[in-house]
Amino acid sequence: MLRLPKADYYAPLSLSEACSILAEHGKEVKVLGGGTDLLVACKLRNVTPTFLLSLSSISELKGIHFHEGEYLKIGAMTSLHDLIVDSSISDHYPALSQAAALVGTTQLQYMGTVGGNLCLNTRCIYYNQSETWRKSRDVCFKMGGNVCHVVPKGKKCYAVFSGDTVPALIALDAKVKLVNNTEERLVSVSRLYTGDGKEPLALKSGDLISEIRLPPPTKSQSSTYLKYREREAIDFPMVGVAVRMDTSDDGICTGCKVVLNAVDCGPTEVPQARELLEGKAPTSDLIQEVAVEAEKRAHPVANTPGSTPAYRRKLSGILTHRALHQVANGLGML
Amino acid sequence: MKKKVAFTINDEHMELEIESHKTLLEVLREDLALTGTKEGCGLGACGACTVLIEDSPALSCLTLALEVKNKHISTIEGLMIGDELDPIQLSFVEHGAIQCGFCTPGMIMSAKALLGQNPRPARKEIKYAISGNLCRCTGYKKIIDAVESISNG
Repeated sequence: MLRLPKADYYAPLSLSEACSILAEHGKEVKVLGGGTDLLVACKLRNVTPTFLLSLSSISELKGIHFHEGEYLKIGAMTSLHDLIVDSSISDHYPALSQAAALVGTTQLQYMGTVGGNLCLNTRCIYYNQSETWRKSRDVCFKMGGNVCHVVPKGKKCYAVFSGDTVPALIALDAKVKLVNNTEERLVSVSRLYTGDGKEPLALKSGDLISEIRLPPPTKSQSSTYLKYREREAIDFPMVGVAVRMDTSDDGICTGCKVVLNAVDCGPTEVPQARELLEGKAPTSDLIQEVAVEAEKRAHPVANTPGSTPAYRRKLSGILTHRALHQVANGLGML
Repeated sequence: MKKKVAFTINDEHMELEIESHKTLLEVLREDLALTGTKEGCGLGACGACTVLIEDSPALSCLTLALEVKNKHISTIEGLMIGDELDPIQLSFVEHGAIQCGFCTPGMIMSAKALLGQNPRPARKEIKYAISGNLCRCTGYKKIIDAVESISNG
């Protein structure tokens, strides 16, 4: 039986209690959402927390609510399955429900939470391995050492970020509410990531994500998330891409965001999408230009099973092309 | 550290003292001798340890036992009513949807969750519902047939 390391467990009933515990114990604690990423890392001894702080008993962190005209609020402990079946999300923010439906397996979607997906650790074929497997090599940056097995002479960790809901949330201009013992603040999802493989999250010590806020939906907007992986039933992405487009009544693109997944240490926005498409009616040629730019923005390294960096770079362009076509078609722009 | 936790397993209410780092799978198999639920990969990839928590499929190898406080858990042992097999179990037997049998409890629990929400799923929906359960004998066709035959009534 593969067992967890010994760890204590607390399940506070309120957010303020959770923040106090986190402020007091800091780095000894790991925050437990659905457990589908953290408990695997514990079993593999990638992390060995002194105790686990479970958020599952805090009812204020669950659920999806519209604040009319202002925003849609999604509690951080809302399951990915709830994002898939909730019609307010699938109707108005299709990229988000599509992304949630592409995370892992059915079981993992019932267990995993949106807050947990935002905090998904970066991955690498030399890191996500058992302790015994890892012992045969020098300790890498991600495990606290000073070598990278993927990039020869690399000076930092290149582990890949692959949380599927994140590019969708960035494309949809989502914000998160961060709460700690002394303050709460709203931060754009795009600012939540450092771009560093070793420490991917730009959270302050003691911060918890309490909710996600999506701007009110408009009728003239569409979005999608496409993901390519080795096995359709379970795997992490080789590449993912989220696209959001807004249109005016006369078919002009008034806003566009393209965000790539799993091609770098953090989610990767393609700013050229906005520059090339905004103020114009999308054409196949323009979409192809954006796809070429997406391919240039992708910087995958050889840390993902079943693919080479060159393949994933090429795929970034192909998926961007497909996603933009799909969204522009859906809006009747092509 | 041991903590007290109460939950219901297969309609039987119980209160146990459990080490805080134990998974639900360890408690089922080692403390309660409910060995029908299997450990495959132990890392959430194979679905062999699937049980139902409040009628939803969940991986018991990645669920802390303390996390199921006050919840109802169903395992493969709870499906029989008296000496009668559950219709899903019977259908697996009749269709020969078993080779080595290791994935079977997880497959059946995933199918049970599907049929609980959708009594007449299409073949595609059955495939999707069991896509988180690996069968390394690769006998998927008969498993899908078994679920489909009872979903048709």
